[in-house]
Amino acid sequence: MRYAIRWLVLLFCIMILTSCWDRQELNEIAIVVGMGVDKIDDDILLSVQIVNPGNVAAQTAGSLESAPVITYTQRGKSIFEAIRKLTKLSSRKLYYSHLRIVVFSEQVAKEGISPLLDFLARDHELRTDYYVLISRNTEAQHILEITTLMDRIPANKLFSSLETSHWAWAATGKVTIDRLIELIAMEGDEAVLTGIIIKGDMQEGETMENTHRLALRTLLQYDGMAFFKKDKLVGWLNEDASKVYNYIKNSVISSVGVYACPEQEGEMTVEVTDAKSRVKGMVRNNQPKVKVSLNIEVNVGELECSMDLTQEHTLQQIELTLEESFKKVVEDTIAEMQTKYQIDIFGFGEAIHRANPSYWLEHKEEWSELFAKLDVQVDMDFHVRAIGGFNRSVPMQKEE
Amino acid sequence: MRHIHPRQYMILTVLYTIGTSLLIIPSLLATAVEHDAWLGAVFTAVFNMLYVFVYVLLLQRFPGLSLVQIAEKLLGKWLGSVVAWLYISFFLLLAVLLLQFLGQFIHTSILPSTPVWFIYFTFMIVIVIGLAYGVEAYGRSAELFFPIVLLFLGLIMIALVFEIDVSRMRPIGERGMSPILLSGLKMSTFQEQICLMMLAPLVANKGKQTAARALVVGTAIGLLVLIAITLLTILILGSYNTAHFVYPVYVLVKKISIGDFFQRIEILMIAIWFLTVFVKIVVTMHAGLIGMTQTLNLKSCKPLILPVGLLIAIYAMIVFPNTATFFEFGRESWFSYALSFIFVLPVSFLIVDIVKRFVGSLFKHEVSE
Repeated sequence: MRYAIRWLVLLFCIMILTSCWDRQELNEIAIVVGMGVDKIDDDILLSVQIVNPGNVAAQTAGSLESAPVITYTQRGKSIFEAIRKLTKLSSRKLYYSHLRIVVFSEQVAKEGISPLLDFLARDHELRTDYYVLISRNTEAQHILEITTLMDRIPANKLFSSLETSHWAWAATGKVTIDRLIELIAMEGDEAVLTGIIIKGDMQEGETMENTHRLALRTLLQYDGMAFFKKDKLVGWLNEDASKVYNYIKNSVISSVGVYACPEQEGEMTVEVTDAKSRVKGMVRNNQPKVKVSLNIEVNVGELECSMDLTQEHTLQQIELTLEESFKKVVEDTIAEMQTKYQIDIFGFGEAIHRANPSYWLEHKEEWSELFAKLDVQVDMDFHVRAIGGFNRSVPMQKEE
Repeated sequence: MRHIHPRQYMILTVLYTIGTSLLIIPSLLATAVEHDAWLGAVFTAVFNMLYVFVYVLLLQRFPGLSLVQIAEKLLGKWLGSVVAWLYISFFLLLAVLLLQFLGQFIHTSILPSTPVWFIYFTFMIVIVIGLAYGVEAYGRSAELFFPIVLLFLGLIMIALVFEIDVSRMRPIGERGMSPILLSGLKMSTFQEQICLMMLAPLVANKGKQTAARALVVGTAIGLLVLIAITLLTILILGSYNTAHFVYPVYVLVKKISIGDFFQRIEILMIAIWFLTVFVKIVVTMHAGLIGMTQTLNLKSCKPLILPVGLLIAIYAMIVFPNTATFFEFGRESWFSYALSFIFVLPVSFLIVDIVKRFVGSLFKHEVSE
């Protein structure tokens, strides 16, 4: 009898310990990988990209009858309302834990994204490991409707190509939601998000035929970075400025830069292998001052001019040229932000805050004016580390 | 009489100290002092160690007595039992709060459609079973949990080291030391080692390994973990996010992603959380039960376990109508309420004892003359 009761208790435990109340069966959920937010009048137009489970597995990759993902769009007064209304379209409950990207349209971002971030930070299903993007010159909805080939799930493609280009090209930024909220909340720093454009014809990009071509007519491409004042989009950084931003923010891992050869015609391309930045704020005579020190290590990647790279003198000359020309680019970019926008995207205010908290406490209200005439000193230090496997340029016919 | 080894007592103390604090303290500290939260945690630890030294002094003066017995011995039958019952109510209310907090966390973060009463009762079943088997059994199970908790914590901390940005902790002490000290003092009331005082008589002292020593070492280890976790939340999430996410440590662990395969390990955090909160509720409830047995002159606390357990689970459902009241209570009322039990009363016991012994020695002196 005792024995039987023990077993009954054990069985009962198995029943209650499975947490079946919250079970989510894989065949009953739809995995959302991308989310786009647009606005119509005062309503939110929410688009979600959902994996079509039957058509992403490897063995069916050749079948092209149906698309690997589905994009649904629904209008609602808030994001959460739109999400629940989406079940009118979808046969399954949407599941958000595997979200890879969230796209806000440029228009929405100009009106302010803070109200839209709330749900993303609050809901328990959402994590913090997806990236936030801004769709440029187009609606976020359309970004989620373009087909891609290599990675058949477009949101995955966007996720990994952002990581790759951030690693190798450094003109894009990986910003997760917690970082974004932190940047918006911070008084001496502003948010900067990567922009995404549709390259080519939009209508054609929405069909599966787009992926039948060798040279895809329509592609998704990262383009520039959008900078914010608090939560409102103000303008766009071009490619060079985006790079400068990443250099100053110490988030460059590797990149490539093209510069004029020292003392002759032609250009040389260098590969950045390591970049370190230090932003140091100080207050002298009640005047804020910021010193940016960049320490960049490069390899010679491509030469269009004849130089003997086996001589130390040549490398020193290269370093000097790089330092001079890149310093100018950095200074110009900072000056443009100071004079044209008065928006401190580089976090100089935060540097002052860290260096002199009491000064910051007094002057943080007028920081944008102070930033506009801030004395920024740029120190540049290039080191050429390697020259590759060829110590001269390939001989060429000199033009007379 | 059941006994546990001082090592088990130390492990119980460590898990007890980590317990709920891990989820509450970083957020509350960051709300109060922003990026100086880790300094606040250091002060929390300092204050906590101060309390523990008071307990140690009491333990040395009254070996083999529990807190409730000390109160009765010092303050006499009537006043003593009033204080004893106040302590018992404090322990039981604390058990309710811990259960409520655990339930709310599970409800909002992991199992949103499971009714919260179900979480309370399931967890309470485990606690009641643990108490029914007695202190030896749960002391030993804590000993088994301990390496798991350490392993998971270590894993999480190492994985998080890659995300650190040291500049987030500067400038240090921007608003002066007094708000940091104050918030440190406030937070120190969230680690109620006083409950462990009730268990101290159950520890079989072995030479140098005494209950007092185990209490000090255990608290110190637990507090170090607390400081480390607070520091990590500040360095990784920044002060704004730490203050405004309700469970920042959980968000922090969700961020872990190494090489695209070592990720989504937040369930490890929940395992730590379950194990430590289990220990914390068991110890707290046991403290209340021991107190009741001693003041009511019962032979054993066994008949009380199930009814008290049920009451705690039911109270967890009704004591706070929503999370906001819970957090408000934690912020506004808990400090003065808890401080009187974990510091003011023990210190007054100590003073009463010193005065009593002094007066006693005077009296003796006169007689001998």
